[in-house]
Amino acid sequence: MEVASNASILCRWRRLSISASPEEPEQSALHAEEINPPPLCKGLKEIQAIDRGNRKHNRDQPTSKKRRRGVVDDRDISPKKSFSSLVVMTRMLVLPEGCIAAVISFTTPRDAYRLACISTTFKSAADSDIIWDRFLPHEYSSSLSSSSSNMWSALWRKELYFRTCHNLIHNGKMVISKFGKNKFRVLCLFVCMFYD
Amino acid sequence: MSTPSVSVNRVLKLKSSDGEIFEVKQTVAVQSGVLKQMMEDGCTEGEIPLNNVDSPTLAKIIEWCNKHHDNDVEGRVLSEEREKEKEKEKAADMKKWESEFIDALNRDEIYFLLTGSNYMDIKELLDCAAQKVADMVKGKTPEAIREMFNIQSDFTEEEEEAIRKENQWAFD
Repeated sequence: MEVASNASILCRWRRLSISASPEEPEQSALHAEEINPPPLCKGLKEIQAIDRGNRKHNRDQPTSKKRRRGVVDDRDISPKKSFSSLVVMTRMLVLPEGCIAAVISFTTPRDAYRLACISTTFKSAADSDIIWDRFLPHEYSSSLSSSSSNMWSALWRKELYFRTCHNLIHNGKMVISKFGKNKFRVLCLFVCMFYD
Repeated sequence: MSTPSVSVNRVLKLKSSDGEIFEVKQTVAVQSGVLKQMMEDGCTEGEIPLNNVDSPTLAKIIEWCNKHHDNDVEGRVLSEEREKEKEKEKAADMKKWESEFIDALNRDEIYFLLTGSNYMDIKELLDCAAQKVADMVKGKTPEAIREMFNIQSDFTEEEEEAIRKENQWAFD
């Protein structure tokens, strides 16, 4: 039983991290070039190769300046930073969406919105249901996932959050604390139906 | 339900992106969703190449898995009450160990750990690394985060303006 439930959780995560799956290294390299044109990032494979070479060199001597040039702009280069760390930073752009989603899910709705402005990958990660499921009150999201109604599955979690929690917090201020959990759920249902 | 053919004594040979070989017990390796799937499919003979994980990161990942595995198998023979107490104690110890483990890493290492655990599908480790990065970005402006990770926006000016307008409340 435990194996089955673990497997389902893993599947859920796997779906989010398709770009990092072992079968598709080429694709993620392509994606890297797409979203991060040269000279800032020359594609994942090339950077990995440079990085690997550099890690070996790092122990004996400081990073050669020649290598640094063209990968990041000058303001980021300080003698204290290793080349590897510069590569790491440029690679943040090619971080799989699954990783970004995992990070965002540990922040707050406000942070999620701010992070969505960073780049297209961040935006699409910030819009994913897995994040907004966490932001919605627990009893609410669990009743959603157990419900078989089409209305629930069709509803975008992020939208749901805004129709309920956000509006209540920002327009009605203390409304949630006045309602019990069950009443709050009914209220959410009502708000959703009203908007649909 | 098909259960993976895991034996205590068998080891998997994991090959990092820079060619180093790591030996890991199968019972430890099941924590990785990818390796578990491979065991179920019976394709773990020889070296298993992990092209997205370098050796320092893989060493860290294995350290994490070993620690969590040890925690699972210890003290199974205790009475129910004692076991509950022990569980609580262990959970607290593990939390402490996890925070020490992650705090000892620098930003680069955390980054590699994040991608490595995502690639190998180790949810607990991914969560732990993600929590750490989330703490780093919480409450910061998009500009500050871009600078922090040297990310260049791939939005057009109009697109960015539209997204900001739509999410104005988050910036107030």
